[in-house]
Amino acid sequence: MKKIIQIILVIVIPEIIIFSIIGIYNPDKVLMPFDNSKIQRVQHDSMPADHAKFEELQQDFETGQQVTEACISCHTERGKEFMKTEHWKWVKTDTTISGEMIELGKENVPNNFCIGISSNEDLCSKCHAGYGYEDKKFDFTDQNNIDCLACHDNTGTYKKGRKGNPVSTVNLSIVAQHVGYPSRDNCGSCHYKGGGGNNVKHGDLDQALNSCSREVDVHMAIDEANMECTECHTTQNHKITGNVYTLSTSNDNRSSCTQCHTATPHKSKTLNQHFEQIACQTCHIPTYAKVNPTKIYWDWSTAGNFIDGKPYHDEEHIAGDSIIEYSSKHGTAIFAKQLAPEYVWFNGNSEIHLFDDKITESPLVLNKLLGNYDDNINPKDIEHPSKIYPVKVMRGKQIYDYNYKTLIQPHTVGPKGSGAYWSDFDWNTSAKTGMEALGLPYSGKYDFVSTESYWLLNHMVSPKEEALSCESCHSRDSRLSALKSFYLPGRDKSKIVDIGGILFLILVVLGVGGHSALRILSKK
Amino acid sequence: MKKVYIYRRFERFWHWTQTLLILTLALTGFEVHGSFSLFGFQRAVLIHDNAAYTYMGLLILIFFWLFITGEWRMYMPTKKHIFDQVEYYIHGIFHQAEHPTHKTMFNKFNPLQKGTYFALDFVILPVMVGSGIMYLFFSDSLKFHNGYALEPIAYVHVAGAFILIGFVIAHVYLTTTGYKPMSAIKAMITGWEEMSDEEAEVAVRENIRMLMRFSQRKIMNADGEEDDNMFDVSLSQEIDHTKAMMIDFQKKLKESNVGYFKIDKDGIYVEVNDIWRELYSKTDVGDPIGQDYRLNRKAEDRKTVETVFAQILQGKTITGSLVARYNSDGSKSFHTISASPFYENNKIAGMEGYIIDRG
Repeated sequence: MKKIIQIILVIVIPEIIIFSIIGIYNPDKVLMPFDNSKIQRVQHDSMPADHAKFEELQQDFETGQQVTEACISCHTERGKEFMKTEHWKWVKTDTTISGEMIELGKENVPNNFCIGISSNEDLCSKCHAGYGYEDKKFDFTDQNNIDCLACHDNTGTYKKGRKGNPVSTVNLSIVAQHVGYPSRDNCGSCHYKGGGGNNVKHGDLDQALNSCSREVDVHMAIDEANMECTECHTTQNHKITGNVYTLSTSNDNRSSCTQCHTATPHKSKTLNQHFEQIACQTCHIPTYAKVNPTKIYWDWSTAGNFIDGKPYHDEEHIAGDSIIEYSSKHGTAIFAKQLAPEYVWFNGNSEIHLFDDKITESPLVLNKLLGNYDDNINPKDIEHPSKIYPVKVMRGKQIYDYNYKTLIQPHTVGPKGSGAYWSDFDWNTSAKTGMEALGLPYSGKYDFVSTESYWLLNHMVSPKEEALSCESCHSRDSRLSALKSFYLPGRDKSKIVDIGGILFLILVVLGVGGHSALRILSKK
Repeated sequence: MKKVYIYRRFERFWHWTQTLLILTLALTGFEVHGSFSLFGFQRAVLIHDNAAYTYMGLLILIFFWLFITGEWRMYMPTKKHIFDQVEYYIHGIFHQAEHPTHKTMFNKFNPLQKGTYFALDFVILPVMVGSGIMYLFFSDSLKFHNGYALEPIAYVHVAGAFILIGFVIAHVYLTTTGYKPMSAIKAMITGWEEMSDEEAEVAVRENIRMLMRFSQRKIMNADGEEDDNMFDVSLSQEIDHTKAMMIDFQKKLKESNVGYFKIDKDGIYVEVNDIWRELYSKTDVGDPIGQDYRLNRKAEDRKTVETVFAQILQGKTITGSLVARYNSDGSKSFHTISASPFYENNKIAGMEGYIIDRG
């Protein structure tokens, strides 16, 4: 009896105490966690004036320019201010990683969607914050060409058409009398529709965000924060924060989560430490294109097939929600939704491939997001801030000049006989007129090259319960399996150590088994 | 078969805590390594970290104990008997041969164990602790200069884990090579190990020898230097002398007219000698074995006897008290009694004593 009590006291009770502590104690808790409820939202003033009462706006506007003239008659300085912005100029100056200044714009930067604007301005300028941008002759110095209404219409009835002019059904007077701060509708009317349709380009910018649930986006959910774009993309004097890295090379002017959240927002020290290597978006945007599909592949090289001598359009469901689409105008495309992002190291800098740059690789990466694990090894060093970011990778094939090894700007939009591919279906003339408009030479021989572009995902932030779990990365089928340059616990193993270890254990077990068998036999 | 006390309380506590810690660390560690999933990565990391810190704390206590008691010496590798031990495992064990070395409280390991435990405690565990600490503080290391690479640290840690698991398997198997298959495991739980009489003799001698050592008893030779040989000889003589005295005493006791009795702590007679029986033959007690110690006592004496018995169980000794026997014919006889507690496993287990007739 006494013996048993002693055993209980010496062995059983201490072990129970020690191991319940080991099992339950959580040393990882942050004692004073950041309180999300204390985040201060940007509060706009209420509208200081009712524009419907302004005399200047009591007229039947015929054209957009007339509205702008009326606007500028009171807001005398805003026009000059706006004309310095990218929304107007469609070009900006940025610095490359080596410190050189570089001009980046819709004209000199090719993409792997509709490729470029030159010779196609007529259609592309639907999303230009101006009126009458149909070709190179557009007057960028005329204030009256600014389209104030695209961003400031609060009626929801304003709509732009060809050349950037308002469509004829818009009642400009009513729109002009009901202007205000830009809402999601205003920004989305262009930014949701890049690439030719809703959510086509970015994958995380979808019309669905205008009235979504928290599962789609915690910030923009109508029942929750219901935030406007401009609350994060803070704006001063028409200069809006935020970069798209297909058209930016430096870290300047980014908007970030830490504008509102701190750099240590978690209740777990380990998670807060992860922030030094991992961007918020990586865990908090586990899927993109949550509601509507986005285009992930566009092969221009198959365009131009006809049925019965006529261009056609065909769609087919492939795996899951994905759709493969063929059209004679565009070639082959794949649309998909509910996608898991791909991941890259990124330090806020990128290299942009321009129309006059030589093609040196295949697939050609149009915007190389710079950064790697090694320049993150000292995250406190602001010179080397690489973190892992989620991206949508757009892949495709597009036309290039076989002799000059440069990408080609094809002329796609135009009437029959103009050389526009979507009307004449002849790559050679399309390339010729396109390159002519761009002012670059074309050798006369074209081919198609695989290209990739990288789109950082910043929107469609999921609720925290749906954020990635440890195992999403720390497991053999890690989401980070493409990022090889560092050791990731749970993902990586040494074949030598693991196989060697298992062989060693097998030998031990065989040894033990053999020895005990001999002992048993020898006793008989 | 005899049982000898080998493992003290702290050693047993440390052994079993260490066992559970190693198993916990292996289970959670290989989950963190990605080999399987059980607790979930986050939980596995937390448990692994907690267990690691606990183990480091325990290791500090263990090494402190080994250092203070000087018992680290038993971990020092030796070639002495190493081939005998190898021969035993590959041959002798199958022919029920005797173990070539003996386990004692202060020298628990055979030469192969010495080598193994030396490697374990002074090479593998330090490497595991070292690589573990570097793993734990990896992300902090990044704050200073460039930090260090995690990959080699992780692989060393995993390799160490495989070796430890291999050790555990072999270790558990080898526990079955004791006197009986379960002897070693029982010993690690109770502290008392079952051994053959011969082994027990060696072990007890060795335990006494070491305890004398610890009691600062030193034997000097003619030059005034400490001499282990003389110490051993002298110890051996002393043990033999004590043994001889005990045998002699038992013999003399038999020849004398002294009555002997032994009563367990519940007050039941367990043993009396012939002289005792003779002295009590005129009373009506019959065979005392299994009877209560208050037999043959009158009501007026009972309280005194009970008090004395209680005192002895507290550890007191009485000498030369006069006690009456009530004979069947109504007459009284007297004897003196001397009694003291007797011990089992260092605990008072009852009383024993002698009675000398006074007529």
